[in-house]
Amino acid sequence: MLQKLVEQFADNTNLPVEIDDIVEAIKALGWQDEVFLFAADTDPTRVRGAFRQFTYRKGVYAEPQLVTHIVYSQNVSLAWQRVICAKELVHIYDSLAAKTDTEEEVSQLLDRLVGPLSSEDYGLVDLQAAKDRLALYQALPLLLPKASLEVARANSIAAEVVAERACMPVELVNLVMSDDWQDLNGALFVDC
Amino acid sequence: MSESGKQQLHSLLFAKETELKNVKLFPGTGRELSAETLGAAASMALGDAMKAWEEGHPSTAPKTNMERRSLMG
Repeated sequence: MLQKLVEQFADNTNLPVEIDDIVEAIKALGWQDEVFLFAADTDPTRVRGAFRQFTYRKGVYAEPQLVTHIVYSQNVSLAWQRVICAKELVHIYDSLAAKTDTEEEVSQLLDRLVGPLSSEDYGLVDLQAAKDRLALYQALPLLLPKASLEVARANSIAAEVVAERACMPVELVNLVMSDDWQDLNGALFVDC
Repeated sequence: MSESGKQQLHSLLFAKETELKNVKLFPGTGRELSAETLGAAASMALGDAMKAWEEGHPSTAPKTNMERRSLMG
């Protein structure tokens, strides 16, 4: 499903892609539950964003509803706010194995996210932490679609110009415009 | 005794009226970031979001307010 979402934007040559456009595309692809985005007054040296999906019962006899909360730090640049939101929206399509939903997994996820990338401590949580990091890269084709990237490459448009038009951090645009990205990009969506 | 950062996040995520399905975090850039400080900061941010949602605040995605156009335009 994530690949289908990316395909929805692939032919887009008009920039920027707004976060609301991505939310609407997710709904158009069949997501019927609530998605709530919130700008939080967080210290970005501690946390830049968060994704939380849960069921909520409004009353004892009410049907539980599935809700997704996406939080982004209001204390980073607009370009980074957009990357954070796009990355967290990607988690809507997390597989069952990639979902972190127990107390032990949450505790271990925190440890893994601040710990070294290489670890001998293999397990499901390692996969969940890897998915948390991977989602950032999976989100980039949403904000800088394939067709726009092709226009930039074909016309040798500078990364700084693309970053300004796409409203993205230039360091991430540099990555997407690199020669290695095309091969890497295909591998990012295997089984998604 | 005050709750640790991890405990704060657990208390929020596993509150009675909700059932957690998935959580993911975008850690901060601090070089000295620990699991406890990340947990505490995430708990505060997600707690603020929950409060705003329960109060009926609208969802607010960041908006560029830029004119949409081609890179060649």
